Amino acid sequence: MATREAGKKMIMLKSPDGMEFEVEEAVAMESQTIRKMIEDDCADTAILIPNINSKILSRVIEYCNKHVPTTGATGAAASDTVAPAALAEDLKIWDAEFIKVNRATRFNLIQAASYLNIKGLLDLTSQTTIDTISDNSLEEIRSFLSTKNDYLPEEEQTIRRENQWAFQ
Amino acid sequence: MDSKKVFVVTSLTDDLVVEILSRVPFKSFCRFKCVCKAWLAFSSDPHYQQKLLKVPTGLLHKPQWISDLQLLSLPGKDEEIDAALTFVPHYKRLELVDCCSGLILCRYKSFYTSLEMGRFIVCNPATRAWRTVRAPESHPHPLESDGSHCRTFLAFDPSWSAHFYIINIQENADGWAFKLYVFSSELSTWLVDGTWSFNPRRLNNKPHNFIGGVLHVQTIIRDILVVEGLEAISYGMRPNHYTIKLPNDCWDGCFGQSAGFLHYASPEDGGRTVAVFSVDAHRPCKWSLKHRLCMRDAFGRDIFSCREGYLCDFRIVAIDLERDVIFLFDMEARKLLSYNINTGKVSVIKDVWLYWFGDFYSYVACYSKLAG
Repeated sequence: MATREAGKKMIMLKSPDGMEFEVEEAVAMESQTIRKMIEDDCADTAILIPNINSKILSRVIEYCNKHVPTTGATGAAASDTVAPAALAEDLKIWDAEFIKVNRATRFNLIQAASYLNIKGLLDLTSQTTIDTISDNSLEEIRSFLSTKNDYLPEEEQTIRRENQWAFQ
Repeated sequence: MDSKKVFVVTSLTDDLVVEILSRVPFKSFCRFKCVCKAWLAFSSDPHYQQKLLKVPTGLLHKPQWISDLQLLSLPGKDEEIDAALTFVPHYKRLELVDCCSGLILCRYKSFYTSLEMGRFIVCNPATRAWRTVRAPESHPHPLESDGSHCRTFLAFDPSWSAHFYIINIQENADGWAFKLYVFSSELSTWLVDGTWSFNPRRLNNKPHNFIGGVLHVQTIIRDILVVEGLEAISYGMRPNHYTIKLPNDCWDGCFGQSAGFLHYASPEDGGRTVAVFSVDAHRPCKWSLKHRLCMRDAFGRDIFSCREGYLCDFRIVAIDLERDVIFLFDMEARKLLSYNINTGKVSVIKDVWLYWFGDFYSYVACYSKLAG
């Protein structure tokens, strides 16, 4: 689907805490969930985004704004002015800054990315979480993800023995 | 700061945790299984299984005339499995003897130096660890004639023991007496049983199964040789053996395992169906039917012309009941197929024309430290 140049169509997104955000249709359609609503004509006035508060929704929109394909550059035939590699590098740096948020915000972003079906954001948030926990001890992982160790001591011993190689 | 805290997520739902875990390398995932029971359960939950990185599995193929090993149908993610065994010195001279639970037993081809000839190599293509095992000494041609005078099996089951065993059954030169040699990686030595009574010529060439410390090998007279008590050799005791019957009139099938039970899959009714049995008890042997699968629909034909010495024109080369897949070799099209038990669909694994099926071994990557 091509991006529109002139006469940009705007979409209103509403968060459950009453805030409204006017965004370009192309930006909103970075979310596959919203794209489906628009394509199915379910988005005549405003789209209510449940479960995502205004603070998170504004950040999601910020992400989509940055990642929406730039005007004129559709698909593989990128613009002549900026090399695609440089553009990708620029996005990477931007992403790294964008995801420097606290744990609660990150979890909210993961949930929002999953609900709104924004693959790039889901990849970014999940991968950052993996990078955070991958070298941590099991106890640190449990506390980071608010998970309780429900193994009995002997059960934990067995499961650890079976997966001994993964701890080496 | 964030006084209103509307819909603040403090923990993630299972779907989102799986979303995150689906991005970790297999090794990390195995460590993470120890976090809590729910995380362990993800790996066996059919809803999540597809998403999560699973242990690399495949079929190890040894063509009859070419010694190059190939690993087929590996879901190639970031795990590197060196099936060509390039990490073993002089790997080009190696030939495959056996494969069991991710370990491979090789030997140097007989026309190389006598020093190499007297050695087995046990190696792990996932971790690239290997070690040599000196062959038992007493036999005049210990490595010469696999399949006729001497049969060698690798027995390894990481959920049972970290140690592997090499089982070598030999026929004496006069053809009337037999010997069993068992190498234990724990003792690093061979135990000899001169009273062994089972003729290795009675064993067929199909891949064996080793589960829970018990070895199963099909015989040419439609039963199964069972060898158990390998762990007792640490106390100087001999392993014992007996035979059990194959289910119904089955033969020409192959072993598999699931949840600690031995399974057997065999074509029936001239190949129109495939039956999968599981053994409930060894003594007296009791089989129960798990699946009866219709091959007519899968192949889109009704006639499976019989070939001499075979039940039908396809052979079951491996079964993977953890993933509900049966691997078949279509002798007409000379193609390797996978049959999905849940969908009943057949798909071509590797679109290559194989002159002959050679040997196939189920391969499940193992990452534990090589014993010894």
